[in-house]
Amino acid sequence: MAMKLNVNGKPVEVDVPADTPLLWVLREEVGLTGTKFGCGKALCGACTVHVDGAAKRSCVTAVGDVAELPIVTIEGLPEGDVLHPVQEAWIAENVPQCGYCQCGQIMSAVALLRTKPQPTDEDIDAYMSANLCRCGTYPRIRKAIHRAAEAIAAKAGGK
Amino acid sequence: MNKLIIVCLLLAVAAVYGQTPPDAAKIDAGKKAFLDVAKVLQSPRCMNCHPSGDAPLQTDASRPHLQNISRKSVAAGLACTTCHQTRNSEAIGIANGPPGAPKWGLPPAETPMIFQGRTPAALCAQLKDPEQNGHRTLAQILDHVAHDPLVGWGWAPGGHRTLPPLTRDKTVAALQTWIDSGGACPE
Amino acid sequence: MNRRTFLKATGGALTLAVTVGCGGNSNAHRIQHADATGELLASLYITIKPDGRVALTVNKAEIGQGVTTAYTTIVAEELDVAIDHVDTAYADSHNEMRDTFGMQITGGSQSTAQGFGALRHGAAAAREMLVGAAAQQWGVAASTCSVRDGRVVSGDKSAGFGELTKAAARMNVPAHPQPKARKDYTLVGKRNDRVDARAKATGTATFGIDFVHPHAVNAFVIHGPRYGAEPKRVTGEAAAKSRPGVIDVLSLPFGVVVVANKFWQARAAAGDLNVEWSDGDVKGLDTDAMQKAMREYKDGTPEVIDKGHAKRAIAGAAKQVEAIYEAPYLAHAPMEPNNATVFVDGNHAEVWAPTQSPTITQAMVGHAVGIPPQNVTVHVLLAGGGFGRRAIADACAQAALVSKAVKKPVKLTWTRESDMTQAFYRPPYAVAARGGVDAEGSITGVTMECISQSIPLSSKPMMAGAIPPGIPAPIAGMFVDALMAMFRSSSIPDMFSTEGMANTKYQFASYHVGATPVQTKLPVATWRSVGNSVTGFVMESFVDELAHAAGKDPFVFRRKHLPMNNTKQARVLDALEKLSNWQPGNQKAGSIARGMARHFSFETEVGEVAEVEIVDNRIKVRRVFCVVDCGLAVNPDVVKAQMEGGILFGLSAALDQEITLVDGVVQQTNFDTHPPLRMFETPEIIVQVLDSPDEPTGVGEPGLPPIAPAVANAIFALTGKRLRRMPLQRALNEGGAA
Repeated sequence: MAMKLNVNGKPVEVDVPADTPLLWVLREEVGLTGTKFGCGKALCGACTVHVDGAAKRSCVTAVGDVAELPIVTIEGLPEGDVLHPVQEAWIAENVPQCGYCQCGQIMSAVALLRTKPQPTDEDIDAYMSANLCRCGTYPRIRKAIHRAAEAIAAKAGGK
Repeated sequence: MNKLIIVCLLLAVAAVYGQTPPDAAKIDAGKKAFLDVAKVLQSPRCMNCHPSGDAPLQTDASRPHLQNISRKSVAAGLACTTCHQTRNSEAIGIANGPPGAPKWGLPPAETPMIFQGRTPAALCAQLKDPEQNGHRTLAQILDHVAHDPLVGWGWAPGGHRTLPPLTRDKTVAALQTWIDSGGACPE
Repeated sequence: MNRRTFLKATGGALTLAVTVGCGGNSNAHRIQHADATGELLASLYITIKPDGRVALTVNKAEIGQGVTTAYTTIVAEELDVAIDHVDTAYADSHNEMRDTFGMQITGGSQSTAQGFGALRHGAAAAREMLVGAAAQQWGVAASTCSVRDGRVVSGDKSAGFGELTKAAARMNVPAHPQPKARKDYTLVGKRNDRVDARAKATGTATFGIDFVHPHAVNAFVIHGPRYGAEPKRVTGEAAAKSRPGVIDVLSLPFGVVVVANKFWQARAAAGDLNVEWSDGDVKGLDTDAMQKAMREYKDGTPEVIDKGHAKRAIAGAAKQVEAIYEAPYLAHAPMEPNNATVFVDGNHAEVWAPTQSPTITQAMVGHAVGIPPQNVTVHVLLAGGGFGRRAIADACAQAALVSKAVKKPVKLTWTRESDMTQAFYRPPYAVAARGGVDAEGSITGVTMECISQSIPLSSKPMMAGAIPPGIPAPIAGMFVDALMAMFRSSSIPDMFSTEGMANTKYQFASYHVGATPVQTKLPVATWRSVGNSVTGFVMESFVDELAHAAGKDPFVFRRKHLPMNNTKQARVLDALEKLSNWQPGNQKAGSIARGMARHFSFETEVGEVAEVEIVDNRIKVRRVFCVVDCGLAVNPDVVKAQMEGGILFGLSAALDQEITLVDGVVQQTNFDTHPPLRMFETPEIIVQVLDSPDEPTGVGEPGLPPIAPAVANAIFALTGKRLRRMPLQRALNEGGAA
């Protein structure tokens, strides 16, 4: 089934069954491999993207359900060459180890900060516990989220 | 004394509904029917989204949701629909993935409508209390049970999930009997 | 793979010299190459480009441990360039790069320990050649030249590395290059950003699963319900084949494979198939029964260590302690599911995979499709976690078989469920410990009878990888068979099962260790810290029990039995006591109690203090203090990250994870049933990396072994109950031992 998607602000045409998981459409049809396959059933969060501004596990989301909506992946997060403050914070805290889960972690963290610009540790526990990391980067993810929150606030204050 | 209060309440309810007061047989039938309704409410399919705490429950064992999911998660922006779509994951070829139905979610924090760990009498009182039930009339509650798609998922949950002890039709009928009794609560 | 014992056991037959300096490049070749390309092939791993940039070939897999950052830092330091002046690529399979146990392999926490020596000497040689070339051109003494920011400078003369490559190629390769003294380091020993952080934070890092071969088709495997089950009958093929994109449905010994243009097309079509399976290798295997049999095993075990008369010393001691410790099968479950892209083209094969070992990949792919391992070229891609799992190239071998059948490049991707149920697991253990303490509170003797499944007996395909290239297949096969027979008869001891126990740093007055291998056909393998993942738990739990019996503080008791003369053990105990503000005799405060443990593995000492609370019968680890002495820390922040990672990987296993089988069927299928720790249960972790005088030693694994015993010892301090079986939460639920 031919359908039009809006991925990272650009129109994309794909021809796949409507019940194909968005994850595989992004990876195999659109060629965006930053969104990862980890568990296949929304247990790990490695496939997290934003649909209409909200976090979504693309591995369990049928592409047909989001065809009309703006989709943002990790590749669409920077503005031009300027990384998102969350990405900058990830680098500054040396967060990634193997790095496989980190795109999903970052997409989740960005969505968290939209709702809670100054998240408490409890907010981070409540939101980020749905994303798994086997390397054990959680302490650094927590620090990076606080760092990004400060950077975003400072930027907003400076304007 | 208690009985007197109940009678007064029933009369008040009856007055609201503009009906004739139910007779004793109807009241008995209503109480009995509510015991069946209570079993449905406390089956995993209903209770898992009406927990006593802030965390939804999962599986037939009704254990707290993995991933530290609670109303706090939702408040932090992690909507249930991040993972739970409008239909079960099996519909798109993923076995044993997240269950789904339209508007998957918990009752609001202000009116959590707790089914877990309550006696039938307490469930009954809660169901009727406008402060707790979101100012719904009994008819609206009946409509929620009879027609809400998310509630309906409980009777067609798919996978290996157990079903509530009564079918949806029988649950609706039992609720109707209860409503006809003026919302008589079991002791 | 271990290490010295392994080399010892094989009589050194499998060792090759570590390739330092200019291995592989003759002078003539180096000059010819420089004249033709402007590149200086300074060593097998280091090339100076015409633009002056440094190209570094990393002969290890980046599995998150930070080897790319460490190697880059070492080379940048010796060549006096900025870290971002070095470009890295991962080595393909290469005969001259088989620098670890005769193989190219990433494991045993060896990468930095090994690379530190090889790379700084290699880089120092390159630097001396560049300086020598400049000095010659300028007619000055080399000693007047210095190097900074990628340039050689002498007085008012200056030349970029790129301008010097052709002349440098003509210099003699220094036989004894002089690396910098530690005091002169400006990069090594400092916190630097990871070189791979940006790519990993932007989604541009290419993992194995992201690799796209332009002509590859995709394969989806349906594995049987039990390990080794083969498909007997397949129905629904016509329906599957009629789906869009589906190319073929194959019945192969390891499963039924749907081949399609796209992975999801194959995955969706697999739903049309019904497969009848053979019983496979492990029907009837029941882990509860197996664990019980191991626990109750009473026969004598073949001896590994026997020092003094331990049994007699224990019998005559003032106090005796006996305990049985147990540990289950575990899956590695790295975040990236097993996958590989392989093209078998006649008598050759090409592999692109997130592998920890090109050599084992060559051996397993070659064996699978019947071609010599030397005809297999392996390209190493980033791995989404390794933990030992990716030393086994089973997905590569499967993809090779599919490629051979469809005569096309094939990308094969497992599901998480296959990854969990078709794994090579951490072996299960039961260890019977006995010990005695005398009236002064000293240990008189310890015996350990260790029963566990043998990794070597599961490792035939990996052993084959260690055969040096060029040995004819029949001879290589005989060698491997002989080696396996020696492992089976225990004439070569299983070096993994008792590591961390047989070679403990404790100096007991008398000591006996016995080891009995248990055989099942469920394969086992190295799992982060290997034997130490259990022996650390056993040793440190039991020493804690002995300390309690002796009425001694855990730190005091350990100092009494460990070498304390300027050792890593002494440094770590001292620092840990201070860092955690340990209060002797006061392990419990309110609802929280503390436990400590230390362990020496991969030549590195790590000590940890865990603070534990039990809330609604759930073990909550609130805070962990960790001190590590790993010699020189090339990047202390990466070391800190590895401690955090080792602790959390170990804590997931210590608290919750186990693989159980009922009638040969693995019961855990995904992250819901084999749960890793999540953010909300992650303790605060405070790490101190010691400023150590020693050379770099292992980092990726040694943080793991102390966490389980530290937690178990804290639970004892909290409740008076000894939890002697992992996972500890299940042991607590089932009552523990008072």
